[in-house]
Amino acid sequence: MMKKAGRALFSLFAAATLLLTGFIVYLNLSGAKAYAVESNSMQPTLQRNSLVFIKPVKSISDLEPGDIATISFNDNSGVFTHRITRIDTGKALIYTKGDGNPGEDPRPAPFSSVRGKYWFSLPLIGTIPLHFGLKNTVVVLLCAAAVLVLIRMIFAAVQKNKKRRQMT
Amino acid sequence: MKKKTVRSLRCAAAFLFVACFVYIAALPATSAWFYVQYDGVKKDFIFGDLDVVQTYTSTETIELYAATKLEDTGEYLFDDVLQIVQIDAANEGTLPARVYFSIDEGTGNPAGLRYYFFEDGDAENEMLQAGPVKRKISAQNLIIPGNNAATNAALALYNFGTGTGNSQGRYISIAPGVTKTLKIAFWADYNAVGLPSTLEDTDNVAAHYVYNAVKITLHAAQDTDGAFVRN
Repeated sequence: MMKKAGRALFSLFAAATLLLTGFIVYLNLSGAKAYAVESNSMQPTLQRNSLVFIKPVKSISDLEPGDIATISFNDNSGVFTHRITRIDTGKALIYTKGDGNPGEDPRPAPFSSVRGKYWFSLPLIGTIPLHFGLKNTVVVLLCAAAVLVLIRMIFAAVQKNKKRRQMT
Repeated sequence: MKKKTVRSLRCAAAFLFVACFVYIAALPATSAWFYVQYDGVKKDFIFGDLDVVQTYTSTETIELYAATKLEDTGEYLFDDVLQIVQIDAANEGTLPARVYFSIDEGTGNPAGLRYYFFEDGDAENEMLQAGPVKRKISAQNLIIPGNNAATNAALALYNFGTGTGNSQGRYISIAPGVTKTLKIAFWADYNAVGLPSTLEDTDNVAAHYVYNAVKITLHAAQDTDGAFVRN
Protein backbone atom coordinates (compact mmCIF):
# COMPACT_ATOMS: atom_id res chain seq x y z
CA MET A 1 0.00 0.00 0.00
CA MET A 2 2.79 2.37 1.04
CA LYS A 3 4.86 1.38 -1.95
CA LYS A 4 1.97 2.05 -4.32
CA ALA A 5 1.36 5.45 -2.79
CA GLY A 6 5.08 6.20 -3.00
CA ARG A 7 5.17 5.21 -6.66
CA ALA A 8 2.11 7.35 -7.44
CA LEU A 9 3.63 10.34 -5.67
CA PHE A 10 6.89 9.93 -7.48
CA SER A 11 5.08 9.69 -10.83
CA LEU A 12 3.25 12.91 -10.06
CA PHE A 13 6.45 14.62 -9.01
CA ALA A 14 8.27 13.39 -12.10
CA ALA A 15 5.47 14.53 -14.39
CA ALA A 16 5.37 17.99 -12.79
CA THR A 17 9.13 18.30 -13.02
CA LEU A 18 9.13 17.24 -16.66
CA LEU A 19 6.41 19.75 -17.48
CA LEU A 20 8.25 22.53 -15.71
CA THR A 21 11.53 21.64 -17.39
CA GLY A 22 9.85 21.47 -20.77
CA PHE A 23 8.27 24.86 -20.21
CA ILE A 24 11.55 26.48 -19.20
CA VAL A 25 13.35 24.97 -22.20
CA TYR A 26 10.57 26.21 -24.53
CA LEU A 27 10.77 29.64 -22.94
CA ASN A 28 14.48 29.88 -23.59
CA LEU A 29 14.31 28.47 -27.10
CA SER A 30 11.57 30.92 -28.12
CA GLY A 31 13.54 33.87 -26.77
CA ALA A 32 10.86 34.66 -24.21
CA LYS A 33 11.89 36.03 -20.83
CA ALA A 34 10.38 36.09 -17.37
CA TYR A 35 10.52 38.82 -14.74
CA ALA A 36 9.26 39.04 -11.20
CA VAL A 37 6.98 42.02 -10.66
CA GLU A 38 8.42 44.08 -7.86
CA SER A 39 6.06 47.03 -7.54
CA ASN A 40 2.39 47.93 -7.76
CA SER A 41 2.45 50.40 -10.61
CA MET A 42 0.61 48.04 -12.95
CA GLN A 43 -2.15 47.15 -10.53
CA PRO A 44 -4.70 45.70 -10.95
CA THR A 45 -3.40 44.15 -14.18
CA LEU A 46 -0.12 42.87 -12.76
CA GLN A 47 0.09 42.17 -9.09
CA ARG A 48 3.24 42.49 -7.11
CA ASN A 49 5.06 39.14 -6.71
CA SER A 50 3.64 37.75 -9.92
CA LEU A 51 5.83 36.46 -12.73
CA VAL A 52 5.41 38.18 -16.08
CA PHE A 53 6.47 36.48 -19.31
CA ILE A 54 7.38 38.53 -22.34
CA LYS A 55 8.08 37.70 -25.95
CA PRO A 56 10.64 39.61 -28.00
CA VAL A 57 9.45 42.04 -30.68
CA LYS A 58 11.30 42.53 -33.94
CA SER A 59 10.08 45.96 -34.98
CA ILE A 60 8.15 48.92 -33.62
CA SER A 61 5.21 47.93 -35.80
CA ASP A 62 4.80 44.83 -33.59
CA LEU A 63 3.73 47.16 -30.79
CA GLU A 64 0.58 49.19 -30.46
CA PRO A 65 -1.02 51.39 -27.80
CA GLY A 66 -2.58 49.21 -25.15
CA ASP A 67 0.16 46.59 -25.26
CA ILE A 68 2.20 45.99 -22.15
CA ALA A 69 5.91 46.20 -22.78
CA THR A 70 9.03 45.55 -20.74
CA ILE A 71 11.59 48.28 -21.22
CA SER A 72 15.10 48.64 -19.86
CA PHE A 73 16.27 51.69 -17.98
CA ASN A 74 18.64 54.01 -19.84
CA ASP A 75 21.63 52.67 -17.96
CA ASN A 76 20.48 49.04 -18.30
CA SER A 77 20.42 48.68 -14.53
CA GLY A 78 16.97 47.13 -14.65
CA VAL A 79 13.67 46.98 -16.46
CA PHE A 80 10.15 48.22 -15.96
CA THR A 81 6.90 46.86 -17.37
CA HIS A 82 4.19 49.36 -18.26
CA ARG A 83 1.37 49.80 -20.75
CA ILE A 84 2.03 51.65 -24.00
CA THR A 85 -0.11 54.77 -24.32
CA ARG A 86 1.22 56.06 -27.62
CA ILE A 87 3.96 55.44 -30.10
CA ASP A 88 5.92 57.98 -32.08
CA THR A 89 6.97 55.85 -35.02
CA GLY A 90 8.89 58.74 -36.62
CA LYS A 91 11.20 59.10 -33.62
CA ALA A 92 10.84 55.42 -32.55
CA LEU A 93 9.70 56.49 -29.08
CA ILE A 94 7.36 54.60 -26.79
CA TYR A 95 5.22 56.46 -24.23
CA THR A 96 4.12 54.37 -21.29
CA LYS A 97 2.01 54.49 -18.18
CA GLY A 98 1.50 52.18 -15.24
CA ASP A 99 -2.13 51.08 -14.94
CA GLY A 100 -1.99 52.01 -11.28
CA ASN A 101 -0.45 55.45 -11.89
CA PRO A 102 -2.43 58.60 -12.51
CA GLY A 103 -0.26 59.83 -15.36
CA GLU A 104 2.16 58.84 -18.09
CA ASP A 105 5.73 58.01 -17.21
CA PRO A 106 7.96 61.07 -17.12
CA ARG A 107 9.95 60.22 -20.19
CA PRO A 108 9.35 58.14 -23.36
CA ALA A 109 11.62 55.21 -24.06
CA PRO A 110 13.41 54.52 -27.35
CA PHE A 111 12.25 51.37 -29.14
CA SER A 112 15.78 50.00 -28.79
CA SER A 113 15.17 49.75 -25.03
CA VAL A 114 12.13 47.53 -25.44
CA ARG A 115 12.94 44.02 -24.23
CA GLY A 116 9.63 42.50 -25.20
CA LYS A 117 5.85 42.49 -25.20
CA TYR A 118 3.64 40.97 -22.54
CA TRP A 119 2.71 37.34 -23.16
CA PHE A 120 1.12 36.14 -19.91
CA SER A 121 1.68 36.24 -16.17
CA LEU A 122 1.46 33.88 -13.22
CA PRO A 123 0.53 35.13 -9.77
CA LEU A 124 2.67 34.72 -6.67
CA ILE A 125 5.56 32.75 -8.19
CA GLY A 126 7.61 35.95 -8.31
CA THR A 127 7.83 35.69 -4.52
CA ILE A 128 10.67 33.21 -4.91
CA PRO A 129 13.13 35.45 -6.77
CA LEU A 130 11.97 38.63 -5.04
CA HIS A 131 11.88 37.55 -1.43
CA PHE A 132 14.03 34.42 -1.27
CA GLY A 133 16.57 35.09 -3.99
CA LEU A 134 19.01 32.65 -5.45
CA LYS A 135 21.22 32.22 -2.39
CA ASN A 136 18.43 31.47 0.06
CA THR A 137 16.70 29.13 -2.38
CA VAL A 138 19.87 27.09 -2.84
CA VAL A 139 20.35 26.91 0.94
CA VAL A 140 16.74 25.83 1.48
CA LEU A 141 16.97 23.17 -1.22
CA LEU A 142 20.24 21.83 0.17
CA CYS A 143 18.73 21.64 3.66
CA ALA A 144 15.63 19.92 2.27
CA ALA A 145 17.82 17.44 0.42
CA ALA A 146 19.84 16.76 3.55
CA VAL A 147 16.67 16.19 5.58
CA LEU A 148 15.30 13.82 2.94
CA VAL A 149 18.55 11.85 2.85
CA LEU A 150 18.51 11.63 6.64
CA ILE A 151 14.91 10.41 6.66
CA ARG A 152 15.79 7.83 4.02
CA MET A 153 18.77 6.63 6.06
CA ILE A 154 16.68 6.33 9.23
CA PHE A 155 13.93 4.55 7.33
CA ALA A 156 16.42 2.14 5.77
CA ALA A 157 18.02 1.46 9.15
CA VAL A 158 14.62 0.78 10.71
CA GLN A 159 13.72 -1.59 7.86
CA LYS A 160 17.02 -3.41 8.23
CA ASN A 161 16.50 -3.79 11.95
CA LYS A 162 12.97 -5.14 11.39
CA LYS A 163 14.23 -7.73 8.92
CA ARG A 164 16.99 -8.82 11.29
CA ARG A 165 14.45 -9.31 14.09
CA GLN A 166 12.16 -11.30 11.79
CA MET A 167 15.06 -13.59 10.87
CA THR A 168 16.01 -14.28 14.49
CA MET B 1 18.34 -3.66 -12.87
CA LYS B 2 14.87 -2.27 -12.42
CA LYS B 3 15.84 -0.88 -9.01
CA LYS B 4 18.86 0.85 -10.50
CA THR B 5 16.72 2.39 -13.25
CA VAL B 6 14.18 3.64 -10.74
CA ARG B 7 16.94 5.08 -8.58
CA SER B 8 18.51 6.84 -11.57
CA LEU B 9 15.15 8.24 -12.61
CA ARG B 10 14.55 9.50 -9.10
CA CYS B 11 17.92 11.22 -9.03
CA ALA B 12 17.34 12.75 -12.46
CA ALA B 13 13.88 14.03 -11.45
CA ALA B 14 15.23 15.50 -8.23
CA PHE B 15 18.09 17.17 -10.06
CA LEU B 16 15.74 18.63 -12.68
CA PHE B 17 13.38 19.86 -9.98
CA VAL B 18 16.20 21.62 -8.17
CA ALA B 19 17.46 23.12 -11.42
CA CYS B 20 14.01 24.51 -12.22
CA PHE B 21 13.70 26.02 -8.75
CA VAL B 22 17.11 27.62 -9.01
CA TYR B 23 16.21 29.01 -12.44
CA ILE B 24 13.05 30.61 -11.04
CA ALA B 25 14.91 31.96 -8.03
CA ALA B 26 17.44 33.66 -10.31
CA LEU B 27 14.85 35.51 -12.42
CA PRO B 28 15.35 39.29 -12.53
CA ALA B 29 12.82 41.78 -11.26
CA THR B 30 10.79 44.30 -13.15
CA SER B 31 9.85 47.38 -11.22
CA ALA B 32 8.18 50.53 -12.29
CA TRP B 33 10.06 53.60 -11.29
CA PHE B 34 7.28 54.66 -9.03
CA TYR B 35 3.67 54.43 -8.16
CA VAL B 36 1.42 56.75 -6.30
CA GLN B 37 -1.05 55.46 -3.81
CA TYR B 38 -3.90 57.37 -2.36
CA ASP B 39 -5.50 55.78 0.64
CA GLY B 40 -7.93 58.26 2.11
CA VAL B 41 -6.02 60.56 4.39
CA LYS B 42 -2.75 58.67 4.24
CA LYS B 43 -0.57 59.77 1.37
CA ASP B 44 2.20 57.58 -0.01
CA PHE B 45 4.92 58.42 -2.47
CA ILE B 46 6.76 55.25 -3.34
CA PHE B 47 9.55 55.25 -5.86
CA GLY B 48 12.08 52.77 -7.14
CA ASP B 49 15.35 53.11 -8.95
CA LEU B 50 15.66 56.58 -10.39
CA ASP B 51 16.63 57.05 -13.95
CA VAL B 52 14.72 60.31 -14.16
CA VAL B 53 13.17 62.48 -11.50
CA GLN B 54 9.98 60.95 -10.15
CA THR B 55 7.15 63.11 -8.95
CA TYR B 56 4.19 62.88 -6.66
CA THR B 57 1.45 65.48 -6.65
CA SER B 58 -1.26 66.20 -4.15
CA THR B 59 -3.79 69.04 -4.26
CA GLU B 60 -4.80 70.38 -0.88
CA THR B 61 -7.06 72.97 0.65
CA ILE B 62 -5.13 74.83 3.32
CA GLU B 63 -7.37 76.25 6.02
CA LEU B 64 -5.70 78.45 8.56
CA TYR B 65 -7.52 79.87 11.54
CA ALA B 66 -5.15 82.67 12.21
CA ALA B 67 -2.17 84.41 10.71
CA THR B 68 1.14 84.47 12.51
CA LYS B 69 4.58 85.98 12.43
CA LEU B 70 7.56 83.67 12.00
CA GLU B 71 9.98 86.53 12.66
CA ASP B 72 8.43 87.21 16.08
CA THR B 73 10.67 85.18 18.36
CA GLY B 74 8.25 85.85 21.21
CA GLU B 75 5.38 84.09 19.39
CA TYR B 76 5.01 80.74 21.16
CA LEU B 77 1.70 79.84 19.54
CA PHE B 78 3.18 79.62 16.03
CA ASP B 79 2.73 75.85 15.86
CA ASP B 80 -0.91 76.09 16.93
CA VAL B 81 -1.91 77.85 13.72
CA LEU B 82 -0.12 75.57 11.30
CA GLN B 83 -1.67 73.09 8.94
CA ILE B 84 0.71 70.22 8.35
CA VAL B 85 0.39 67.98 5.32
CA GLN B 86 2.06 64.63 5.80
CA ILE B 87 3.27 62.25 3.09
CA ASP B 88 5.03 58.94 3.58
CA ALA B 89 7.83 58.61 1.03
CA ALA B 90 9.30 55.17 0.49
CA ASN B 91 12.49 54.47 -1.40
CA GLU B 92 12.01 51.01 -2.87
CA GLY B 93 15.02 51.32 -5.11
CA THR B 94 18.57 50.22 -4.44
CA LEU B 95 20.23 53.62 -4.37
CA PRO B 96 19.94 56.58 -1.99
CA ALA B 97 17.52 59.27 -3.12
CA ARG B 98 16.67 62.87 -2.39
CA VAL B 99 13.16 64.25 -2.21
CA TYR B 100 12.65 67.94 -3.07
CA PHE B 101 9.36 69.78 -2.97
CA SER B 102 7.49 72.45 -4.95
CA ILE B 103 4.36 74.37 -4.17
CA ASP B 104 1.92 75.82 -6.65
CA GLU B 105 -0.13 78.22 -4.56
CA GLY B 106 -3.07 78.17 -6.95
CA THR B 107 -4.93 81.15 -8.31
CA GLY B 108 -7.34 83.49 -6.59
CA ASN B 109 -6.02 82.71 -3.12
CA PRO B 110 -5.10 85.31 -0.53
CA ALA B 111 -1.46 86.32 -0.35
CA GLY B 112 0.81 85.29 2.48
CA LEU B 113 0.93 81.50 2.29
CA ARG B 114 4.24 80.27 3.71
CA TYR B 115 5.61 76.78 4.05
CA TYR B 116 8.43 74.72 5.48
CA PHE B 117 9.44 71.20 4.42
CA PHE B 118 10.75 68.82 7.09
CA GLU B 119 10.83 65.30 8.40
CA ASP B 120 10.16 63.93 11.85
CA GLY B 121 13.21 63.93 14.04
CA ASP B 122 14.81 66.98 12.44
CA ALA B 123 15.40 68.59 15.81
CA GLU B 124 16.80 66.89 18.86
CA ASN B 125 14.55 66.43 21.86
CA GLU B 126 11.62 67.31 19.68
CA MET B 127 9.08 65.97 22.11
CA LEU B 128 10.44 68.05 24.96
CA GLN B 129 10.35 71.39 23.20
CA ALA B 130 7.38 73.66 22.85
CA GLY B 131 6.61 74.65 19.25
CA PRO B 132 8.79 72.05 17.57
CA VAL B 133 8.17 73.30 14.01
CA LYS B 134 9.19 76.83 14.86
CA ARG B 135 12.18 75.41 16.70
CA LYS B 136 13.20 73.43 13.61
CA ILE B 137 12.93 76.58 11.49
CA SER B 138 14.90 78.52 14.04
CA ALA B 139 17.60 75.84 14.07
CA GLN B 140 18.16 76.51 10.38
CA ASN B 141 18.88 80.18 11.19
CA LEU B 142 16.03 81.33 9.00
CA ILE B 143 14.44 83.69 11.53
CA ILE B 144 15.75 87.20 11.49
CA PRO B 145 14.05 88.64 14.58
CA GLY B 146 11.61 91.42 13.80
CA ASN B 147 12.45 91.44 10.10
CA ASN B 148 9.62 89.97 8.05
CA ALA B 149 11.15 90.57 4.63
CA ALA B 150 14.53 89.11 5.51
CA THR B 151 12.92 86.12 7.23
CA ASN B 152 10.74 85.38 4.21
CA ALA B 153 13.72 85.76 1.89
CA ALA B 154 15.77 83.35 4.00
CA LEU B 155 12.86 80.88 4.06
CA ALA B 156 12.39 81.05 0.29
CA LEU B 157 16.12 80.53 -0.30
CA TYR B 158 16.16 77.60 2.11
CA ASN B 159 13.11 75.97 0.52
CA PHE B 160 13.99 76.42 -3.13
CA GLY B 161 17.56 77.66 -3.39
CA THR B 162 18.43 79.88 -6.30
CA GLY B 163 17.21 77.15 -8.66
CA THR B 164 20.54 77.03 -10.44
CA GLY B 165 23.34 74.48 -10.32
CA ASN B 166 23.54 72.73 -7.00
CA SER B 167 21.35 75.30 -5.26
CA GLN B 168 17.97 73.62 -5.59
CA GLY B 169 16.86 74.09 -2.02
CA ARG B 170 15.69 71.84 0.72
CA TYR B 171 15.74 68.13 0.17
CA ILE B 172 15.36 65.13 2.43
CA SER B 173 17.57 62.10 1.84
CA ILE B 174 16.04 58.65 1.89
CA ALA B 175 18.21 55.55 1.92
CA PRO B 176 17.17 52.47 -0.09
CA GLY B 177 14.53 50.43 1.65
CA VAL B 178 13.62 53.28 3.99
CA THR B 179 10.29 55.06 4.41
CA LYS B 180 10.19 58.55 5.86
CA THR B 181 7.29 60.71 6.91
CA LEU B 182 7.73 64.02 5.13
CA LYS B 183 5.83 67.04 6.32
CA ILE B 184 5.06 70.45 4.95
CA ALA B 185 3.93 73.02 7.45
CA PHE B 186 1.74 75.83 6.11
CA TRP B 187 0.95 79.10 7.78
CA ALA B 188 -0.39 82.50 6.84
CA ASP B 189 1.99 85.41 7.16
CA TYR B 190 0.36 88.08 9.30
CA ASN B 191 2.13 90.91 7.47
CA ALA B 192 0.82 89.75 4.13
CA VAL B 193 -2.78 88.78 4.96
CA GLY B 194 -3.69 91.47 7.43
CA LEU B 195 -6.39 91.28 10.08
CA PRO B 196 -9.65 89.43 9.51
CA SER B 197 -12.43 91.76 8.40
CA THR B 198 -14.96 90.69 11.04
CA LEU B 199 -14.78 89.70 14.67
CA GLU B 200 -15.96 86.22 15.41
CA ASP B 201 -17.55 84.18 18.07
CA THR B 202 -14.75 82.27 19.81
CA ASP B 203 -17.07 79.29 20.24
CA ASN B 204 -17.37 79.03 16.49
CA VAL B 205 -14.03 79.86 14.99
CA ALA B 206 -13.91 79.66 11.23
CA ALA B 207 -10.89 79.36 9.05
CA HIS B 208 -10.07 82.89 8.00
CA TYR B 209 -7.41 82.16 5.47
CA VAL B 210 -8.37 79.49 2.99
CA TYR B 211 -6.06 78.56 0.17
CA ASN B 212 -7.75 76.37 -2.41
CA ALA B 213 -6.14 73.94 -4.84
CA VAL B 214 -2.66 74.30 -3.44
CA LYS B 215 -0.60 71.79 -5.36
CA ILE B 216 2.18 70.02 -3.51
CA THR B 217 4.70 68.22 -5.66
CA LEU B 218 7.46 65.98 -4.35
CA HIS B 219 10.35 65.21 -6.64
CA ALA B 220 12.54 62.17 -6.00
CA ALA B 221 15.95 62.24 -7.62
CA GLN B 222 19.29 60.52 -7.20
CA ASP B 223 21.20 61.56 -4.12
CA THR B 224 23.76 63.59 -6.05
CA ASP B 225 24.13 67.30 -6.52
CA GLY B 226 22.70 68.36 -9.83
CA ALA B 227 20.35 65.38 -10.08
CA PHE B 228 17.34 67.65 -9.67
CA VAL B 229 16.92 70.98 -11.41
CA ARG B 230 13.92 73.23 -10.86
CA ASN B 231 12.26 74.19 -14.11
